[in-house]
Formats: sequence, structure tokens, C-alpha cells
Amino acid sequence: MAETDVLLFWVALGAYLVSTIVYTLFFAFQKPTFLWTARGGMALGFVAHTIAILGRAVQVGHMPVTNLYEYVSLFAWAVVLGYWVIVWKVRKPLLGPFVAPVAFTMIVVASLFPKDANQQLVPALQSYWLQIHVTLAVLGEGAFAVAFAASVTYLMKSARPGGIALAGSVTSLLLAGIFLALWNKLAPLAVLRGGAVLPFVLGTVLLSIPFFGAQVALANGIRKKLPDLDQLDEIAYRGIAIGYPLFFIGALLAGAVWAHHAWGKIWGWDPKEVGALVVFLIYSAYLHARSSHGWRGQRAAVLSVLGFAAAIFTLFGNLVLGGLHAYN
Amino acid sequence: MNAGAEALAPEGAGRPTGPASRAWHWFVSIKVGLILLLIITILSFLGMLVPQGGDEAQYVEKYGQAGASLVLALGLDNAYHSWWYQVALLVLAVNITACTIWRMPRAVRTAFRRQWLEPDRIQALALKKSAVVAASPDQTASRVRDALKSGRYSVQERQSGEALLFSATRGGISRLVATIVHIGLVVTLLGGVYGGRSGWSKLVFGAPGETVASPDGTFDVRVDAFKVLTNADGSIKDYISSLTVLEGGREVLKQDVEVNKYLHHRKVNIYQSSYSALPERFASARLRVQWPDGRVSEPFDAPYGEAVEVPGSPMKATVESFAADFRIDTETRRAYSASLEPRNPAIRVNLVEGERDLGGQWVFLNRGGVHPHEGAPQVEFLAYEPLYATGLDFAHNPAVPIVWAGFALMAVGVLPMMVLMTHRRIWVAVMPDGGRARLVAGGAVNKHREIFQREFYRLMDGVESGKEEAGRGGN
Repeated sequence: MAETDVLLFWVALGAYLVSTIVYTLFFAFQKPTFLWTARGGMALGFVAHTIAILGRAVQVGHMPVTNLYEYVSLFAWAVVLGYWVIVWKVRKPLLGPFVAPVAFTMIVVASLFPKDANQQLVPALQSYWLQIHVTLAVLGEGAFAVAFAASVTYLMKSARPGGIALAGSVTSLLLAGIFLALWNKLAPLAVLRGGAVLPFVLGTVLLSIPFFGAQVALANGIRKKLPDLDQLDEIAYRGIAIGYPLFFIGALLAGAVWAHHAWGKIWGWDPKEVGALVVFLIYSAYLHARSSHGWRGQRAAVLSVLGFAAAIFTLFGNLVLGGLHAYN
Repeated sequence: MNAGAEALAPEGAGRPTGPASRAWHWFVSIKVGLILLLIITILSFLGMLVPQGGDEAQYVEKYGQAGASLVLALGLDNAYHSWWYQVALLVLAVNITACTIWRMPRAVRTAFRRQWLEPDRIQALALKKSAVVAASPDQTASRVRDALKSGRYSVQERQSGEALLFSATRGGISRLVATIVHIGLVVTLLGGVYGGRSGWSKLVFGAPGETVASPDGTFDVRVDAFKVLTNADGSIKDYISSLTVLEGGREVLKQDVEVNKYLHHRKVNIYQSSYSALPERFASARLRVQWPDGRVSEPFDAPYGEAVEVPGSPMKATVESFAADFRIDTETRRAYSASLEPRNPAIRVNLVEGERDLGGQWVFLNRGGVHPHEGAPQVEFLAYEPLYATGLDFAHNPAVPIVWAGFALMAVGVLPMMVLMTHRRIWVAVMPDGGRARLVAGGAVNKHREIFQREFYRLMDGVESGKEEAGRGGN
């Protein structure tokens, strides 16, 4: 099984790619054949991905979540699982064109990391809490990803003329800045003084391309083909309603119990712990705002996008922030 | 947005009148809670970006002098223990407590009190249906009963004049979900504060054979053995400390402690936290002797403090001292280890040939002697096997059960979210209308109105038509 699980991983990646492309075609031409082909691709990818993960779990003797390849791969799998759950709950097939690219992006990111199987865990990870803590957290993040896809679509559909391009430019500027700053160990000014102006500008331009692409697409009548705003709002809410308890119990509660079990500290202000707290706080704000304060639509969608951005930052932040949760 | 809910329990009840009352209402509002959540989110994020607990030199290296000064002045180097973070947390805790106390009575009332609405009040609800049913009042009542029960509603009925009233409710407990989560959060925070004030932890190192005292003085712990197990590739497999708990010199408990397996005794937990090579002792050294005439002995192992024979000679060698980070005190001329790190390992070896003491010499690892004696055999220090002391973290936290209770409450509170649990209420009045029945129905839900609306109309349309399509609850 040593090689088979990686082979199946590549099959899943290919299937998600095909699904993403065909979903885009369905979105453009609205032909049912494309829809069923895309869903078939997603299903095939999901089955291959599931067998790959289970195969590796059997091979290594524990849940495969002990390096970035395994974790991000499981994250991509959870995104697709979240998609199926939401489709089953809401019974709307319209979400695929927006979730498939997220799943595909995640699995591509996973593919960039070394795929060695860790049969022997480091002492700190030799605990059943690993399965509970990480698995529940990643399932929650998968549901958040579906909510994110719905919220981004919501923002696209409800954007004013030029709004996507403007928001995209600002976001790209920030993302490029944060990326460079993190890459250079959090000293933004030193980065720019050190001659990183060109990468910063190039990064901003590259990141802006999808936003401008979306803007052009909207200007060409795509807006009408996007799902109904109320449905998108409901899907985003459902995704968060499912992800929030899973993430909260898995990342925060189970994490704290495990930390007490292993280190004698329930909470240690480790960067990953704080990151999980930030994610929890943002989604808490979303739920409070939506259910008690009447916040729906754009403002709720912005909070949903921010929550997912924080989850991604928390996931990869360890690469530069270090801490007790850093992957080797 | 909540169909009918406003008409049943108007927010306007108990509106503030004076400035104090207005201030209180403002403080317990969701808006303030939201603002506090976002403020703490931003503050937490700031602390995440700046490495915590560093010293000034580290920040100067990272951010320059001005940046480091700013970090230190704002307390960002210790953000989560800074006054501004603690104040924000405290205000949030007070806000959550106040909101919970303020809203709980109404939440409990709404969850458990069954309300009865007369037809005119039912018709005032936002979500309603009115129809004349082509069936007798008894048949219609039976349909209503079946429909509501198949929708998993708790149904009660009573006669009011000519009208038969139904009051159906489902998921009332969901009204308490937010309250339960908030109580859990407050309990957890209180536990955290209590634990922070009354708990303690201390890292204690103990070499095998040593006995260390628990920091609270209630018992002692003897380290029987400490093993670092490795895999074939040299990576660490496990750290195991074999411990014996002693009370008044009497053995009361023996247990192996590992990273995920702590020892609990007298409300103190002992964790396998770290380990350190002893700076002035080791298990065994690998040595070789070279004679002035060029002969060289086979390498041999010399356990610390034991006299061992030098292969191919009548000599014996004894390692008398070890310093992992060798230094000489210039005043006393005494050698010592300047740190715990093996930066400059050296041993003092004494050679004896028969009854003749050839004297001792300090030898550096793979670098020869400090002051080699001319014409005397020279010892080479090739390698050594360190002796490790285990780092045991003694911890006492009386608040742990409180925190677990808080966690349990929060977990119980958030789980119903996954199934979008809502408090659904339906009121129906069935009245005679000639030979037929007049149906007046209305519903109210605390959230997810769209989902409830679909269910309400499905159920009531089923009653009107007499078809058995009602009842699949839905969500």
C-alpha cells in the first residue's frame, strides 16, 4: 500500500481537476451532461481520495495527519465531504462549480509537500487524542470551506460594478504583503528595504488576476447564472453551523484536554492555539450577528470569508511562526 | 424575520427609561458582545504575529531598534498577559455573564411554557393559514393531530367556546442552547482564572537513583530509571521515566511516566516534560591510550568512576571527572561545566600501572589533553554515552474539573447547531363552519424561518387536502 495510497491521491487530484473544469463548462453552458459529468468526477475523486486516506491510515497505524501532506490532503477530502453533506441537506446541485476549485486548490497544495509515511510518531503525538483533535478540526474546516465558497459567490453576485476588482486589488495587496512579511519572518519594512519591491508588485498583480477575471465575467452576464442570493446565504450558514461545533470541539476542547494530558497545561498561548481561537471568535461573531442581530447578506459573507482566511492562516502560519504545533 | 415571534414576545418589554437603565441595556446588547468579540479577535491576532516572551535583543534583530521599542512599549512581547488583553477578556466575560443572566429567565420561560392563542391572535401572526376544510370538525381535528404528531411536535389541545385549539411545540430546548454555551464559557473562564491563581507547576530534574521532592512537600519521587528509546533511524521513539513515589521513605506507588502518560498522586500530576544530559557525569567513555614510543591501545570503554584495564598493558584507567562545557576557575584552579550543553566536553582520567600512580590528565573530546605530560602515556577521549536526568513537570491545578465542566456545557450547547435545531411552534384553531370545518393556523420560529415556513405549509396543506403528505418534519 506504500505507493498505492499516493497513486490514488493523484487519481483524486486528477478527478477534482476534471470536475473543476467540467463544472466551469456547466456553469457557462448550463447543460445537464456537464453537471452529471462534473459530479461524477467529484464522486470518483472522493472515492479514490477516501481509499487513499484509509490505505495510509492502515499502513501507518494511525490517522494520517502528522505532516502537512497528510493534513492538507485530509482537508481537501473534508471540503468534498462538506460539499456532499450540504448538497444532501440543501438539495441544491449549484454549489459544485464553487466548491470544486477550493477542493482542487487544497489537494494541489497537499501535493507540494513530501509524501513520506510516518509509521513511527514522535512521542508527543502517540495518543488517541491525535485522532479526535485533528480529525474533528479538519472536518470543521472542510465545512467552513464550503461556507467560504458560498460566501465568495454571494459577494460576487451582490457586488457593485467594479467592486470585485477593487476588493480584489486591496486583498491582493494585503495578501502579497502578508506573504512576503511572513516569508521574511515578519518584518515588512525590512523586506521592502531589502529589495523585495519587485516580488511584492508581481505578487499583487498575480493575485489580482482571478479577481479581475471575475469582474470581467460578471460584466459579461455571468451574474445572472450565479445561484440565488438567499440560497447562497443559507448554504454559507449551514456550512458554518456544521463546521462550528466540529471545529470548536475538535480544535479547542479536545486540543485543551490533550494538552492537559500531555503537557499539564490546558492552554499555552501557542500560535496555533491562538489561531484556532481567532477562527472560533470570527465564526462566533458571524453566528451572533446573523441569528441575533439580523446580519445577513454581504456583511455575513465577509465574516465567513474572514473566518476561512484565518483558518488557512492558522494552518500554514506554523511554517513561519513555529510553536508546539509546527510540522517538521 | 422571525415569523410571529415578535408578536408573541415583543422586544419592547421592559424598555429602558433612565440613563443607568439605558447603559445597562446597551451593555447587555448583542451589539456590544459582537464588538468585544471582534476586538479580542484583533488583539489575539496581533499577539500571534509577534513572537512571545522574547528578549529585547531578539526584537531588535527582527524589527530594528524602533520596532523593538514599540513592541516592548505596547507589551506585544507578552500580549496575552498584558493589561489591555486581560481587560478586554474581563469585559467580555462580564458582558457574557450579564447577557446570560439577563436573557436566561425569558429563554427558560419561552422554552417550557406552553402558550395558547385564540383564533384572532393566530391570525395576527406573520406566518399563517386560513381555510375552510371539506371535512367535519372532528375529522379535521383528527387530521391536525396526526399531522402535528407526525411532524414530531408535542401537541396539546383544549376547547375554547366553539373552537378546538391546538398548541404544538418542538425543539423548545434549543432556546437554552445559547444560554448553556454562555454558562459553559463563563465556567471555563472562571476555572481558568482560579487555576491561574491557585495552581502551580515546577520543572524538576532528577538523575536515575536520585530522589526529588514534590514542590508542595507532600511526597518524594525517586527516579529509578530514565530511558530514551530510539528507532532504527535514530529518531526518538519514546522517553520513559520509571518513578517510585515515596511518603516518609515508604514506597507507595511505582509507575512509568511517558509524554502522554502522566502520574497522578495527591492532586499533583507529574509529566514527562524534558530531559538533559548530566553536565558532570556520564555513563561511559570510549578511550584509547597512546604510548610515547608510538604504540596505541585498542579502544576501550570506561564507565564513569570505574577502574578498567587498558587493553594490551598492565595499566588501569579511571575517569574521575567530567565537564560537558569545560572551564577552569582561575582562582581555585578547579574544573567545572559552565553549562548543561556539551559545548566543550572533557574528562579527567587517572592512569595507574601496578602500584604506581601515573597521575591524572584532562582530555578533550577528540582534541587531546590540556597539559599532556611529556614522556607519559596519553589518553585519547573518543566518545561518550551521556547520562540523562529526566525533566519532570510537577503540576497542581485544582480548577481542572471546573474547566472540564465548562467544556462539557459548551460542547452540549454547540452540538444542536449541526442539525439546525429551532424552537418551532404551531397554533391551530378548528371551528365548525356549516357542515364543514374552518381552520386557522399560525406558526412561529426563533430562527431559520424559511425552513420552518416550508414545513408549516406542508403540514397545513396536508390537513386542508386530507392527503397524507404531511409529517416528514424536515429541517
